[in-house]
Amino acid sequence: MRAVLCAWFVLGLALGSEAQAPAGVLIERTLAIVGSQVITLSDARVAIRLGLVGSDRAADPQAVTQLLVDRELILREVQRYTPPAPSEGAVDARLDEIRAQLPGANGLSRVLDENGFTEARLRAWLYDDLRVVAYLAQRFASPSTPTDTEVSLAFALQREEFARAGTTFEQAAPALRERLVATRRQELIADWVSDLRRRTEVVILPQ
Amino acid sequence: MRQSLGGGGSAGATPAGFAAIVVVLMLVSGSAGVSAQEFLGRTVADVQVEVAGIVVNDPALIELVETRIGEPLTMINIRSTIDHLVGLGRFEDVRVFGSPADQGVIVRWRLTPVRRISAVDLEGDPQLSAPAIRAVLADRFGTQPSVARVPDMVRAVEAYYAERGFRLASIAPRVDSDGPEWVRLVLTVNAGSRAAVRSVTVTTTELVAEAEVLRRLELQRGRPFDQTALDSRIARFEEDLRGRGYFEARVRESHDFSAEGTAVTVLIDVAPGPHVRVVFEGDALAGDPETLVPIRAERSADQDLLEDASRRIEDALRREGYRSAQAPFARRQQGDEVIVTFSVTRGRQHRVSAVDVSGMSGLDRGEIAALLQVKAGDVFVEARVGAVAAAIAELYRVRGFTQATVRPVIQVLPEEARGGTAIRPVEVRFDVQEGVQTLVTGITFAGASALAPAQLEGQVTLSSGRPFYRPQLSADRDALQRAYRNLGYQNAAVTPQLVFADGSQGVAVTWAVVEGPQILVDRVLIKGNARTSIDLIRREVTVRRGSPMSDDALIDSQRALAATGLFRRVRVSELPRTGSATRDVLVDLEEAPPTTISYGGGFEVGRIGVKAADGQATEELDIAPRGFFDISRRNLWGKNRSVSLFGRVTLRKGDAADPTAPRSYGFNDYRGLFTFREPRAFGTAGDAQLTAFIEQGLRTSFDFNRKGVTSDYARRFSGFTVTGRYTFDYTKLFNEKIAAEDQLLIDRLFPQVKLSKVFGSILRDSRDDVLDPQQGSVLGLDASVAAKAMGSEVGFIKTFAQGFAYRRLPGRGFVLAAGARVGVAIGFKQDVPVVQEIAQRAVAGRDGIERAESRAAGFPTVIRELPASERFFAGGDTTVRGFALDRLGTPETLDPQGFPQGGNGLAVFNLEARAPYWKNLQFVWFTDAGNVFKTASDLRLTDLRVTSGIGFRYRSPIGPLRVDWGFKISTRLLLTGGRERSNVLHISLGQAF
Repeated sequence: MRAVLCAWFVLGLALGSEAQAPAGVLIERTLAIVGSQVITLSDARVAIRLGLVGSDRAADPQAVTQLLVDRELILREVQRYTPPAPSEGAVDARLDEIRAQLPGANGLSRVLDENGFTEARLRAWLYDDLRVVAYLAQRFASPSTPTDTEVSLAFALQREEFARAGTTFEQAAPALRERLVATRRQELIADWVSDLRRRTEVVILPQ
Repeated sequence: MRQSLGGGGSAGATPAGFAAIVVVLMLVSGSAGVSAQEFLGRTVADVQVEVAGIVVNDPALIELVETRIGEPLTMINIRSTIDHLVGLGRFEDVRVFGSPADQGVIVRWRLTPVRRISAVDLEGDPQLSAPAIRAVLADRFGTQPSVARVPDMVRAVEAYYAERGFRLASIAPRVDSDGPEWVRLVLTVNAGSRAAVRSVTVTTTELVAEAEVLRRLELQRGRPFDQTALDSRIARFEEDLRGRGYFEARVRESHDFSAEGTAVTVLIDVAPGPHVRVVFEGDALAGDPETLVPIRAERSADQDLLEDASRRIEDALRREGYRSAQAPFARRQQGDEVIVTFSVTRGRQHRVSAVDVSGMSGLDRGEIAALLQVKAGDVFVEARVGAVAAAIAELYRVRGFTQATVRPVIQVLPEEARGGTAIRPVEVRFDVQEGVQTLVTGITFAGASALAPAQLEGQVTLSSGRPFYRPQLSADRDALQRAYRNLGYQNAAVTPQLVFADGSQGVAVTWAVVEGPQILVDRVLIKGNARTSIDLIRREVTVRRGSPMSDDALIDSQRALAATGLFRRVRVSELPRTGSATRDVLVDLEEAPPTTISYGGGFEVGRIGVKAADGQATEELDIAPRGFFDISRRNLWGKNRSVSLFGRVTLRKGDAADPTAPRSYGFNDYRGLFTFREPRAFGTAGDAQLTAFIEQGLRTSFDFNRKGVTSDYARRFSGFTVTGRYTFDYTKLFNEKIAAEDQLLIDRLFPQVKLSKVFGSILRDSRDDVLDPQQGSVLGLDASVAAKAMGSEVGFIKTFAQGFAYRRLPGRGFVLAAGARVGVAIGFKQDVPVVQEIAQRAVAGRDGIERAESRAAGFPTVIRELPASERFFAGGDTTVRGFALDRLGTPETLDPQGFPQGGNGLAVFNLEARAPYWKNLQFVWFTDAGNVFKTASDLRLTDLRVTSGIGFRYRSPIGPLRVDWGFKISTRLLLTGGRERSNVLHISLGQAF
């Protein structure tokens, strides 16, 4: 499925760009610039092929670019505040996961070679991803706890779902509370990222 | 085929889907049968670079392209090239296309320049001020934002309008091209109708009338609504209420727009709070009540502030020895007023009666003497005693006593009367528990390979045998990390591991090093140099391709570029590149204007020697206005060469032909310079300069006019500046005040003299401030030689040594400045023919008729003197301040009328004490000694004239304005009768030395 999405993504980009370049095949291009950091087509290809942007929106070329821009914005903040560095073991484990999901012994090397990546660069990417996770966990550790009224309201909105499962309010309340906290955290992060975007020069090129 | 599309297959991919996409791609690409991935690995047959659709051959750009003809095409090279091009900041959209060729692949780079907004124009019906809108945009997006930010800019302008009541404003952006890289942003604004105040409801108390609220907030029905203006009026109104003693005043505003957004209902709630009054009871305070209880300054009387105030009152009293001082406060409401009462109880003053230290064996008492800032007789301040204990403990730790503690033991003795006042004597003892001294037994490094152990040891201070001190351990860790960072190991981690032994008497330090990857410089990208040559910039930048990414090198490069003076802004930074061992360095420059013009004026005041009506030398106050003009053109041919033209004119009183006539002002003192300067001349680190000059000046004994050329070469060698110079000049003396028969022969023979001389000097200048030094020194030695062989009309050798030292004394900041200058010169022996016109003098015969008498027989035919322009003179505001300009000299150097002739020997010594500045004023005391001697061999310290005086400096933006009043320690009889003037006043700019 991921390969199909990737293929459609590349097709989308190619269609967009080929209208201006009838005499050649697009090999590489810039998709966005965040500050002075460039995000290229090959970055997007690798991110999709290796599942580095874990999101349902990964099928949409524009959305992938936006996700990579957000990642870069967060990374700039991470580099300012230096959260605890992830262990080499954690990076190895993540690399092994990626290796396992690609077919063949050289699956990973092939993807990297075709996109101008090296294993060192991929490791650095994964290292940064883990730092981002640590940073977000540290910075947005405790969003405000939902009140009983908010939990009741959430239960009322999802009453049918709980009724089907035969769950009472008392049984559902802890899960609802967790879900509300997670949603609230996501909203906080989203607000924070849009604020970062306002403060940084971000150029997203038309695709 | 699947690989060529998605960069690899996956278990879930459908072959049919891929095939369909491939077909579509083939159709649109125009390169049938070839996909992007298939170009990789092929040999590059040709490379084209297009900027905005035009093929370019700019070598600086081509050099950055790493897909080179004859080499295989790789994604890594493509990616690196994109990093270089985008990093340069000139391009944002970079696309790479491949076309098949017989021999491989043709690579085409299509670059779209970054388009930036050079100006923002407003059209339509903006209603609000265009400069204010531009200021908002510049503040938020910078002065030259990218076109990509236009949507954000439009949103910002919409918000600005909404805040000012234009909730229906529409902003339509348009971008007009203004060159290939610039655009003008045109915002067509339809502000629409502004919301007007429909009604205002005010809730207030009788202390603040509703009418006053409406007036202060300018809220009337029908007036335009402006949220920003209303907020600032509310803030001012609150401040005003707090200033009137209502420290808790709050004014809250809320509003509600009508559905159509054209009318607004405003609610204002004024809560002035109580009026607050502060009362002090009991003993007197130690300080200003407004400072101790700053409710007026802080505009608040909250609990925290009052508690702080209570503590501040107590602390102030304790600093005066009232150890048990108390100042609790109480609030009570009385009608509409809150009264805060501080009850101050000082108690008895405590005074130190004895100080002792016990338990010391590891340190000498002498070593802690300077730290014992508590002595018998002082008022007892507990905080000071605590600080002394902490300082002694810290000294112990520096010496390796890691567990040392110092506990102040305070014993308050019974009350006693002293000087009619009852006090409590206090005995203070510092009880020292030293613990064991820990010495470093060894230093080792683990995990280091990029730096040898000897190199690492050179970075640390804690070494074998030294006392162990933890803060030094942290400093050493920072030094090691810095050393690694300067080698490009940016993530190097250095951790100390300590192993204590022998009951903590020894510690072995192992530095565990994790070096991490080394980052090297890939490309040095230069941006913003329109006029300055790339070679010049590269010469100043110390980072090179392949060199380690060193923090120090980046800072040094930035400093060196800034020091050229060619740039208004310089930034040298590393560009990010995730997971790569190489990174680009961006040199981002903003060039300074090439032409600078400066001009100014001032005046000079001092006493100068003039010729009195009777022909004798006298002194007169000289006030001389002056002006200057300078025009410079920098960075000629992009090589940092510069030319400048400088002119200065002083309006000064000149001598009239008739000495009895009053002296009149004229432009008879001027100087003009044309200078060409080339830094790093001849490919060296030295600077060369060629100067043509013309000047005319008035001195006490003569006026002179000089013109000539000089060429200089100066170079710095580890703190020393070595200068070599050749000068050819032509000097003409005129208006000589010394009678012809009293003039030195050389002045009579050479009233106009050509000099060709070489000059060399070595100078070391470590002053912290050239205009107003407080620390440092200047040491200089120079020598010059003129010879007939070089085209000079007279020959001589002249040397001059000078030294100045400045020291800021401990304590209140007095500066002690001392200086010494010694010069000696010897003229080369030169035979001259007797000139009868000079050798004859008029003598009166017995008949009363004057006749020329020849004295050729006794007339000298050999001269050893230097020309007047090269002889030493002294006296004046920068040498010996008890004398007017040039008036100092031994009798042999003065003519019978008292005019100075100058000499071949000079000695000047200065000593000055400068008090710290008080409100930009500084008082000084000085003593100067010196003299001018006829020959170098006459130089005697016993013949020095000593003067002393006082003065003050006013610290102005252009340097200290100086007034000095010098007095001779002893005045002497003049040759012409009478006594020397005892004092001289000087007014000038800058310190005397």
